[in-house]
Amino acid sequence: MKFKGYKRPDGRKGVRNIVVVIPSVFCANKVAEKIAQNIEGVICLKHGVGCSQVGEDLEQTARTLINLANHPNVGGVLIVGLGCERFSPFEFYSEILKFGKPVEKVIIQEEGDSIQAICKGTKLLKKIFYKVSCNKKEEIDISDLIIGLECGGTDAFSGIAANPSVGVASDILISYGGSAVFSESTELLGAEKILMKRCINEEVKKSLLRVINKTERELEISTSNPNLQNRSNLISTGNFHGGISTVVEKALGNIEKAGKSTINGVLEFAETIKGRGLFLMDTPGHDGESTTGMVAGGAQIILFTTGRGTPTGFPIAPVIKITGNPQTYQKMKTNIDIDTSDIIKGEKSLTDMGTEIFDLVKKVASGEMTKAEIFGHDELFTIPRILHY
Amino acid sequence: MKTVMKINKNDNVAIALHSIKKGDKFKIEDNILKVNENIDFGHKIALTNIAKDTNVIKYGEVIGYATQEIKTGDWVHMHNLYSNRGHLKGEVKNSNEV
Repeated sequence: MKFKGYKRPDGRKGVRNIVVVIPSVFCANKVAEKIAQNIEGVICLKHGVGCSQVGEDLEQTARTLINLANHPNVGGVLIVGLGCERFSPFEFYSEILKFGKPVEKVIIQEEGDSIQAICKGTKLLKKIFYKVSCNKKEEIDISDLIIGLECGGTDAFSGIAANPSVGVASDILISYGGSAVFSESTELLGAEKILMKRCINEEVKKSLLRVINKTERELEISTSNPNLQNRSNLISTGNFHGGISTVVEKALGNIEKAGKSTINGVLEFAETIKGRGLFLMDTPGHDGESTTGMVAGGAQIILFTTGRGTPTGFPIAPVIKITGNPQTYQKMKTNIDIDTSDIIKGEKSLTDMGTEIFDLVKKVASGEMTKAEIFGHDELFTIPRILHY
Repeated sequence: MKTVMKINKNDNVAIALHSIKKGDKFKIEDNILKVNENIDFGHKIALTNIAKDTNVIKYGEVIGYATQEIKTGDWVHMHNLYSNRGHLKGEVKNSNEV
């Protein structure tokens, strides 16, 4: 089974052919944004990190930015540095250069000021844009697809309609040799017994348990401050109104997205997905942060279920929105791509809905735009911090 | 369309597939249950009596325990159901237990 996409010099395959401008530090955000605005269709990945960071926190930022720039949906990259930041724009540039795609850099302190950096950056960007526009779509096997499985604004219908339908779609892709990744470690508490039975070997089982135990210890500390008990709820207002009462109930619905496939590995945040099949990535429960991690890991398309209804998207990967709540679909038809509520009405089976989702994944892989893409929704790009001080 | 969905045969709660009013009756597994309070769609209803401190089961798994006695037909939510997961044991639980 094939789709039409882009072959990249490192062998990976993209479903989009995007040119990005990426600041190496938040101080370069405005210059980067203004450069990107000068050429139609260029995406600027503004963020809030890149300096005054240390250890695993800085490493995670570096890994995320490098892996997003190297993402197969990205055809070319302009890096905008300030010049004195801890995440070196020179390191960033040489990492991207290794992968063989068009890349240039502009450093604000070398150029003089914002205006001169914008002029130089725009000239470089024009060159990159032309090269990337010459890339041709080619036939690509569906087994080269990696989908990220995400949920946000969960309600009770996510766990019985939207998530299990996504699980079927994920299992179908894996049956064709493709891959899927799920995440959100805070939303696995209580589901470990079920997940451990699905791990391919003892090592993966141990990694999974380590991730869940670590996450639970961190949550216990965060929720135990007696002065902050009004800030210690693990269930959001929307989850509450949607009928979700406990973090375990949420977890059991959440893991339905991962279907029934074997778990082949447990990955760090933004770690490159190697191999095929189903993977778990250790990410926060924040849907933007976890989506950022999975896209940086290599997911080209995100399947995002929502009960309460969220309009969000990701700047370099199409996000397909799926709900199980018929009222949410009626209200948010312009944001949501697929309504799975026929399952609770008894009119369609999970297999029917999962197949429908898989068919849309194939079309989106070949270029059909999702509703989030058409509106330019890009809110999900968020790089998390790891702070111990 | 059914009134409620019981996900797993071992569950002691079911999900309301549309909003149910106090006093409404519905059939589940050859039993007729009466609803004790208004229940919003998506929310849980007790299928059996659930004693204080015993498990609430959904998806065939323990999702928490009853913080007070729950009767068949009651709405089951954060006022009568709690999970220790992610919270230090012995810390403040919910308003009913403080």
